[in-house]
Amino acid sequence: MSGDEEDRGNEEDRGNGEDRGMSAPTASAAGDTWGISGPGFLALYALGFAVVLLVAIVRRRRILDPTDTPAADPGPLSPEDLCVIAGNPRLAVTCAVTSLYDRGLLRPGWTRHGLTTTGEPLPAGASRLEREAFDAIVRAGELRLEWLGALVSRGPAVAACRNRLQVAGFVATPTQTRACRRTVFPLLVLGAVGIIRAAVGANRGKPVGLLGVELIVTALAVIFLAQRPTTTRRGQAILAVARRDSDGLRSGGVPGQRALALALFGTAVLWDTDPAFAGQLGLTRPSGDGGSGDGSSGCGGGGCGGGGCGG
Amino acid sequence: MTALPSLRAPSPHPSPYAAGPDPDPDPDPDPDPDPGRRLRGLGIGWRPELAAFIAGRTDLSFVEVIAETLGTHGPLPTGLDRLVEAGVPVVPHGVGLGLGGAEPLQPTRVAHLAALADRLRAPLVSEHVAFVRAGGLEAGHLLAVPRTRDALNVLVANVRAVSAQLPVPLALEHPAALLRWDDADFGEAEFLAELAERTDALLLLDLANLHADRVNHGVDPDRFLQALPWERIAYIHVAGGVIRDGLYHDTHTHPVTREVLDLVRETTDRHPDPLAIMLERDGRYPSVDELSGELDAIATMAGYAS
Repeated sequence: MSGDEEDRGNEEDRGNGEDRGMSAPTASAAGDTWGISGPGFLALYALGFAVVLLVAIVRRRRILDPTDTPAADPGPLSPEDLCVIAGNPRLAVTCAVTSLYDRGLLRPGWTRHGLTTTGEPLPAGASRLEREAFDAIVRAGELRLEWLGALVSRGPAVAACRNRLQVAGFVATPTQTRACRRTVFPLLVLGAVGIIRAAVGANRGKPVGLLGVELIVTALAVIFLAQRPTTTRRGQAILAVARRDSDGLRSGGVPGQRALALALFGTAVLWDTDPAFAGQLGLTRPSGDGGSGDGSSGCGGGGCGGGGCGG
Repeated sequence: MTALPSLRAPSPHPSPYAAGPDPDPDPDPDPDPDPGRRLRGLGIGWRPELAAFIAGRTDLSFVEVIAETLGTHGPLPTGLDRLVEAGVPVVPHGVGLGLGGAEPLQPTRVAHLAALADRLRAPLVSEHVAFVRAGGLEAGHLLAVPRTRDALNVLVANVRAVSAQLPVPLALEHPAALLRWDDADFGEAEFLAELAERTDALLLLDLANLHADRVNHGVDPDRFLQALPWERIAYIHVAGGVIRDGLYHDTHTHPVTREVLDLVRETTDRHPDPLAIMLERDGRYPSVDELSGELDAIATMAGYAS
């Protein structure tokens, strides 16, 4: 750009600035949309947003923190139970498979990531989920954990487990889930008012940029609150206690302990202690941390189990 | 989780951490009347995978940890930190000093071992009678030292130099070597005894290594045990191994063999007041039950079974 062009550009900028400077006060004085000035509405909206969000968070906490005693004591919790409490049924399947493998019931198959049985019969003490996973592998001859997880995590064993944990107050019931989701309505109403105001304002040639930012923040809050809650506060507490009690398993443990280590600290522990087995299972390497397609990110670091419920 | 009980006799060495802002420059002013008995009871090599197993086992009196796996700063590994807090004796076990090497010792390695001893409030430190590097090459293994006077002189000088920098006594372990030197001025045990005598160091008796020497080099365990200076034995290592192509490999990843357990029994027979004894397991970890069974077997053979 030459020096002349730059000067011209600057002049144009100044001219526009003066235009805006002269017209803005007149326009706003001439007719505020709904009789509220732009900055006034922005402030009101922000205040309303803060109040509505706070109320929603408090309501969700109350919904997921029932004070009544649970209807049933679930007894000692298995690694699979802990995964379901944390809202990660696929990890529960990984736990079941690891437990079967550690007991010599499974071995690597011929295909990549394939698992097959060793021919040992399933012992009587096997859990229902272990039995389902084992039977699925027997039927298929050879199966990958990825497929097994997709199959079994929606099966009757996980459903029964979830049901038992809902009764025990560790996992959100459908009623709690619905109630949690309803907390988002006031925020939707607020957002709707904001959208209408933005539309009307834009139509009248008013600047609506900052209101747009507020609407984006509102949308994010709606997405956050619309998350399906899985874990109740009681469930989160029991997970925290289990993690604290089994702190030594952060480094993976020995066969027989590894399912619990997985349930509490995620699949990274298997990569640390038995990369051959972790690779055979086709688990995602922890460094990638790319979502939890197979539940691989687990519940490490106590970051999961919150169910996005503002806990 | 249950914390481990601490030693009956706590470490006589106050650490700078325990001593507060003005640490005692000479942490051991009184000569120890029984330097070999700083450890007692049943122990195990602390490894991250075993953290929960160790925390759940209430009859362990001490642990040993590979010195090169720990730093002198930053948090200790989960599980080990609790043991240190609970006052359970933790022995740093070095594998990289190369005390038998003709090259000068690496000052950073010695300083690291000394700092770890302080950090872990260790009652003692252990290392190997071996060389690990020569001509700038790292062997990656513990290599046998020829049992000659020249080699002994080198070892004595190195051990003295290291001991002078350590805040606690040093215990020396004889490694299991597949290859050995033909030249020898001393028998196996005599070499160790002479080294300990001249340096005032303690000894770490490794029964799996002794078994390896029996299988691979025809060493007579009876003669070896007979010639050992027992008052200098700080503790005993037991580990698993496997015979391949007629040679015994001290793998630490296989079960402890019957022959090694028999050597534990023999040791107990020779030294009725049980010595501190521990299991080394470095991989291919068995189940909790198997590992417990192995420790129980060692405890029984060593006279610790209740």
